[in-house]
Amino acid sequence: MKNIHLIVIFCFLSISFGQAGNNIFSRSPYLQLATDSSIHIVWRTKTKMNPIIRFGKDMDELNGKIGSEFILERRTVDESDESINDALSLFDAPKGTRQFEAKISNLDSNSTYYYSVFDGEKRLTPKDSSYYFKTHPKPGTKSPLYFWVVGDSGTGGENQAKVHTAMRKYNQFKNLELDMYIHVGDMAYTSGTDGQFSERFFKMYEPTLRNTVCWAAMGNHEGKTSKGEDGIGPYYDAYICPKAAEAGGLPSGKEAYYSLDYGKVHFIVLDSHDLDRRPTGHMAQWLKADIEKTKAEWLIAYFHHPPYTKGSHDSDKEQQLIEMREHIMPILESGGVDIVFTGHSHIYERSMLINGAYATPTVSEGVILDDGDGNPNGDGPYIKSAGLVPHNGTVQVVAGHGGTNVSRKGTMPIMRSIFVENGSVLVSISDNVLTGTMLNLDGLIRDTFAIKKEGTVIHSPIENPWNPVTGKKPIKKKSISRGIKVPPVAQMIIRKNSQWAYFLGTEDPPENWNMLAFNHSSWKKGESGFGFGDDDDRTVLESMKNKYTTLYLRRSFALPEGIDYKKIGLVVSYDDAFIAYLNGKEILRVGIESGNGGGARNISPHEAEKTFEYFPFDTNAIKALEGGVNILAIEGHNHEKKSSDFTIHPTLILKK
Amino acid sequence: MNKKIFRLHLFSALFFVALGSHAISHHDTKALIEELTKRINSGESTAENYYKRAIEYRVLGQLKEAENDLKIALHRNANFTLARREITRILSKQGRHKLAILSAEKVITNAISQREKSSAMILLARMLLNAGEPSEAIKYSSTAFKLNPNGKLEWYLLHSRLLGELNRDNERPEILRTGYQLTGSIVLRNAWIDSLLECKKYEIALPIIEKELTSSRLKSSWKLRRAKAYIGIGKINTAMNDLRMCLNELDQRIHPKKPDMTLIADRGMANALLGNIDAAKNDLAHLIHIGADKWVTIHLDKAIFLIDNQ
Repeated sequence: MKNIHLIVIFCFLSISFGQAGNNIFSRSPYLQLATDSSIHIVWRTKTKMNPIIRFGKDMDELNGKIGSEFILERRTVDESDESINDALSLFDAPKGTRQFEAKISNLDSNSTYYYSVFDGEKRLTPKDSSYYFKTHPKPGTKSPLYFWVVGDSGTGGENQAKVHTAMRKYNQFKNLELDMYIHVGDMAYTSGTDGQFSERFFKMYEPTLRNTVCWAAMGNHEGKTSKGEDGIGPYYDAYICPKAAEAGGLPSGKEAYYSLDYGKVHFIVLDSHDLDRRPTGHMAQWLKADIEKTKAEWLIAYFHHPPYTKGSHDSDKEQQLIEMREHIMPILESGGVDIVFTGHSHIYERSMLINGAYATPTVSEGVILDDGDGNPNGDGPYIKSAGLVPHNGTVQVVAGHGGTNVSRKGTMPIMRSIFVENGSVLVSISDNVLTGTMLNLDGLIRDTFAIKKEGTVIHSPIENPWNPVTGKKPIKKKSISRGIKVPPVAQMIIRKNSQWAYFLGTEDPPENWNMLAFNHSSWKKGESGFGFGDDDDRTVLESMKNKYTTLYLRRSFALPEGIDYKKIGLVVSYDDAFIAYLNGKEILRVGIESGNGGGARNISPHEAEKTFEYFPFDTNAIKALEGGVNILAIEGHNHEKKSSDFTIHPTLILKK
Repeated sequence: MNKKIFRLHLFSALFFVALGSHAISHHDTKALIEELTKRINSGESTAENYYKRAIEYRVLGQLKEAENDLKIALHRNANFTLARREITRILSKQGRHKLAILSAEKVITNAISQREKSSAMILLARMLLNAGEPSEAIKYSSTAFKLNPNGKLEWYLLHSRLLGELNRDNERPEILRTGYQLTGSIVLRNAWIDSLLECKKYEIALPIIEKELTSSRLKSSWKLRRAKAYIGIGKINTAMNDLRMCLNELDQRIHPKKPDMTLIADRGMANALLGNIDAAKNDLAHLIHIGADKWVTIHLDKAIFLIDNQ
């Protein structure tokens, strides 16, 4: 055993040599475990010191002070030194290392403080505005949040540095400041030793870590030297994790997994590497209890092993990944999780909005709730119900591209966006919208997606979802020939005989005629229905017969508060066909096979017969809805100019 | 032997295995196996390389290959504790309980510190439990607590379960309460409340349950607990009301095609207590079908049996 100890000591020295440099700090000050009233500042030196932290809201007036009585000093394991008790010993730090952990309490919530580390009266950190910390907002209060997500970064190499620099430049350019930093594991290759942590994590990210708390999940590489069951190892020396629910949530009793609150956002951090992942395991039991307790409006989970990936790892073949999908995802989704961040697989993969994808192998059938790209400027954000609603859809993000070599084995069928290049993810949450941006190592935005929470959204799986292998959208919904019987009405949102703006199809309207921003003040006004020849129209278009076949209508409306969007639908009397647009997006096509406006083709005849038909809003229509003013635009078509009649009479209802 | 020395021993073991990892650039499991195979075939057939390859085989679920490599690793270094522990768990996972028990006994023999010994005894207790020998298992978990009175979260849960399997339910609240006080784990706190209900100590459990009901977003598990307490004190109507509300919430949370095992267990129990015996039996059958642990099904099974025979 003595020989092993000698080898160990030799290795300590080899690894530690050169990491400290001439700086007094062998690990520069970094932040840990922020709450709404406290923060920890941690640093390391190679020599004894009289540790003091001065802090204050004004950089020139650091009038708060805490001294050694509130600063925990930890040292390297030394059998001969009886002054180091269990809690104070460091695992494999270089001999002579002193780690100081200063807890500053009684702070104002949601506030910025500047700080400096002193050795007695000697200031060790420069007077620099980048040495600051921010306390969390009070749990349950609304506050915007902006955070950085990184995984599998800890090579200490050029690409890791580039990813970090790209994030910093982007934030500088956009004038943004991080509120927190999430690392999904593998931050210190290859074995998570103390020296690797110092060089490949703390030194690499030093300018960010001095003012941003990194909330970490343990990766398999840290797992080579740190153990989740004991909470012992360089990983657990580096981080102060809230095992007693110091930052919100329920106490886990283990630093390996924990939760925290930031305003109305609840984060759950799991150890997917070396703890029991089964539903009977203590981690899953804690997860269930924690998820049932939280009253947050957003629920974000992260851990190392991805439930869905075909990057450098395959989630259909590897045990830890399969277990996270089969055992942990059902608990998360039944608790209303919104987004899951993982790493391990060296790639960027981002899913569509999914639910219930627990089978092995993973298939897309029956699990995709929204197959759009989630981009606010593309197909639109993924829409979910307000609050945390079970099985209302999850976005999965594999962010294992933080610095190491990237690769791809295949295509995971639930993914919407896949990039085999290094980068990281920036996430902002403002009120009811979460926006994620994948920034590559050159600072280019590769992917943007958003989740918007509003009202009540009832999703059902898409039968023929977008296919990431072919890269093709699903076949467009065919034009339908007629609606269904009008259900009992709870409320008329646009009544019969309402006033509409209308434009005669003697020429094509401007291209943006159906958009919200279009100004229709020059259009004629009239009460619905519109048409001729069948004695059922309020606004009679005598000029239409033999002259033109199309009529364009616009009307704005606002939705009543707190309604169930699934109960909204169009009720229309029509002869012969129409296309409906909501805020510029086509939501319904009845009796027209292709094209629109003057280019509409294959229009089927249909008699109104003074009756109305009901067309319930589908997911796409619900997604097109806006919170404030909406515009409903309709182009009504006659199947031929010589037709003897025409009617279009749209209403919008909320069914019972 | 204190925790400091334990750390040093643990580090020695882990560091020894971690040595040389820097040279392996692959992060893909199959590529890592290929790389290790190349090393082994080119003369680096060390116990550590066989151990590392076994871990990768285990990740891929190739337990037979993992077992073979661990055997070779142990042949080369009989005191390789990490390998010994790993092969113990793999044998148990394959249902080869006798061999797993023998292997765990060797872990105890090789343990140096009291801490290592106590941890090894918990491993053996777990193997004995898996083999269906709770009365033997509890001897070892008790000894582990004697050697290391503070224990760990997992130890308290295991010991409590062993007591339960031996129908010594009255002893469970005390061990769980102690564990909760020492670790702060909410899992132990909730298990303690469950054990109080099983021991009919409703007056201690109810105030905590009430508090949880007011502060929780999702309330089904607490409604179920309160219903058990209400049934115990004879407030049957109120209990039935709680159970109905519990089922309502569970219906919204349980995925119709891919239900979460823990919620099915709750639903089964709520159905059983409501007298919906067929529904409860369906839930029990479902749990058994998806391979739920005996500890998940045992309480539901008991409840169905009791109500069926009333």
